[in-house]
Amino acid sequence: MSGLLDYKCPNCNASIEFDSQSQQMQCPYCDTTIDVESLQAMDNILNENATENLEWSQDESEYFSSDDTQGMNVYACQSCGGEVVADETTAATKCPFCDNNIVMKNQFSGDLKPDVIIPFMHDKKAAKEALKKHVDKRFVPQVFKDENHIDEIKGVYVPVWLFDSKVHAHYVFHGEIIRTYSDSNYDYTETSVYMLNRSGELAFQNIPVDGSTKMDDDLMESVEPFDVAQTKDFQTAYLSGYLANRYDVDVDECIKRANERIRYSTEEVLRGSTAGYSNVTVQSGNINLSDNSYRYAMYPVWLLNTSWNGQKFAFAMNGQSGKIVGNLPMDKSKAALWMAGLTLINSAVVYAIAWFLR
Amino acid sequence: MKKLLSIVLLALLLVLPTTLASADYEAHYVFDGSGVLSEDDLKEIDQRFADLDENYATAVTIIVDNYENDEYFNFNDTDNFDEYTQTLYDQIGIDGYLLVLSLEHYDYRLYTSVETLDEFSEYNILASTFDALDEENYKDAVISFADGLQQHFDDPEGISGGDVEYVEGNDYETYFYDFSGVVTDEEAERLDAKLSRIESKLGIPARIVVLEDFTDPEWNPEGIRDIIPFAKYLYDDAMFTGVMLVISTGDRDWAIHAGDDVDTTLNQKVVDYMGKEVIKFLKKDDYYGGFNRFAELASETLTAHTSGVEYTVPRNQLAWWWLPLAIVIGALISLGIMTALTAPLRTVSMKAGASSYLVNNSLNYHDSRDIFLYRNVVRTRREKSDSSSSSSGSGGTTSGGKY
Repeated sequence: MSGLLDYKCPNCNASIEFDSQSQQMQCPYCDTTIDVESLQAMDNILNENATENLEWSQDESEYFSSDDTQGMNVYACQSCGGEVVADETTAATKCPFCDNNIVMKNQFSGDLKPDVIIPFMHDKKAAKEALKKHVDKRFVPQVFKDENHIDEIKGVYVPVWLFDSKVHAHYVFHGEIIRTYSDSNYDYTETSVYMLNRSGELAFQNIPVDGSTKMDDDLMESVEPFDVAQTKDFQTAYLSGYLANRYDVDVDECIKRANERIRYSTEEVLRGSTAGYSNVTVQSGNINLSDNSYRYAMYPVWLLNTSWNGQKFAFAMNGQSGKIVGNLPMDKSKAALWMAGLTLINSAVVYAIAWFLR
Repeated sequence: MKKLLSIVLLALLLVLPTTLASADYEAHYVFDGSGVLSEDDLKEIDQRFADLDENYATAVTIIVDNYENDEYFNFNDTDNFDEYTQTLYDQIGIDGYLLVLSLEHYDYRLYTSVETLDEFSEYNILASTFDALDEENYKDAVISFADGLQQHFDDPEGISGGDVEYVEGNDYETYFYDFSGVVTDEEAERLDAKLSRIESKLGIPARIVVLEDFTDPEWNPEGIRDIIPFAKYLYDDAMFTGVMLVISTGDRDWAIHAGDDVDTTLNQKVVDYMGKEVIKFLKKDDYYGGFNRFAELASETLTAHTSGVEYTVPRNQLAWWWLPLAIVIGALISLGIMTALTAPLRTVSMKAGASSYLVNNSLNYHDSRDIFLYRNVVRTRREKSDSSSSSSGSGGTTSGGKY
């Protein structure tokens, strides 16, 4: 199929993949390394006139109906010829027959092509090590630590929308300064009320919003931040060896989430200039956005899945910074013991203080 | 003497079988018209007095509920305790010592024709008896009388080497001043007697003054508004010494002032403790209980002062509810600690804002004004503190407040 990319080693013709350590393409068989740009140029030349028409005419009845193929794409592996079935958002995967790395070129054509990509900086081994460290916490059940076999680990390029905006904000806060004093007969509470008028402008850059429904939004936001300074112009070669999806959440849907985050931070920033007041509440506030722009990017995330006690646990590691997140199970009996012990100690301390102060 | 006395007493016992000693034992030296002594008590006391009679002189004790209503010994039907005692002494024909205790009056008379007893000697003879009477231990009270007499005979100059200071004329002083009528006459009489004995025993007075309103110009011509300075003023103005409790029942104010003659022992901590103990009773409007407690504490603290030892304030027991309260507080603290300790297990959450993506130095204020709108002042009248306050200085130590 013409829409499938399979990067071959120029030396041994085996499937070549992106190496996060050297930041180059490396052949896992003969260790030949070649930089991404050179490989991309070579690949473009090789693919010129490479289109073949091998289809046989078939009866209408032999085709899948449109309902059957909705949401499903079928590709032929260029290494072994096996059929690869993927959903419509899959942009990079592996051949289930020969483990060949496959990039679906068509998923990045036209306006769907990402503008930038942050390449993986940590490999699978680092992700495993990070998970091992992550689960080594006080109240994680020992059995979970000991039997923490990773069911699945995959490097995924997650599609995100990056929003840039200049914000013109006008907020009115209600501020109170409360002072108390007394004379011999009365206690006084003096409340001075102020209107705190704040308007100004500020700018946000590269606010990421998850563009894939396959990636949990909270997991994706938890592995933030990503260093956008290290972004590269998108090359499909970066996807080789990893999984990737194209976005399936429209930019218009993601704007809402970006606006929420912008509004929250804008209010926080302006509220920061109201120090010295006893109470500050928002009376009114509005923000106007200008110079808006957005980009389509691919962010590297290692996804690790494990199951324990019938429950599934998902972890995510920032493929750039190495930051790992994921909720962990709690050893309830250990926590109960700690709670009982602490209660005993704290109660004894409280009682002792009361005893000495009586 | 012994035979004559026995005959007289035996006759009385035959005539008054129900009113004299509550038991069947025929006592020779003690008559219990109030039934506070058992048969065994009477036997023991009689033996003690028999020994005393054999070696020294006869001593007789008569205990009645109320000498005024005593139809058997009140030969002249008198309401004068002195006359009652002297007539009794003469009629029974005692040639030794007679102690009469009138329990309802909390009063006593010690009479003898053998010698002239000055007050110092009388106190020395009866000092231990008073202590036992305070505890309503009548057996010990009577035996202490015998012991006191024996010591008096052995050492007429005094007991225990004369370390008990006698203040002349104290019997004529008043120690309990009740201008508010919060206790009965009988209670007042008993309190006065109790306070009187403190000075008799220790040479340092303890007084209680009860007013309806301490701001009354009659008592407070200087118009002092606070009970603590008033207590000091009253103490100085009346030229008191020792320790004084002042109560103003109208506004439920109290104060205890210890003069500079005793404030080395009755320091702020001790006076505060005395106040706490007294207001436990006053809060329940048990004035007599509160005054009685003050008298007890005054006796204890002044005894420590005269002995030159430090008075150690006893610590109160914690209330029973402190245990469950401590457990609840301990559990809440533990819950907070556990929440903090288990927080690292939860690392997945949505980001609230986008502060990480704020462009450096992009914030530019166009308007930043704080406009004053109005000022509101709420005034609430100060409640006089329910808790005690205190003051100490060169003029003594005072503690006071509301009850």
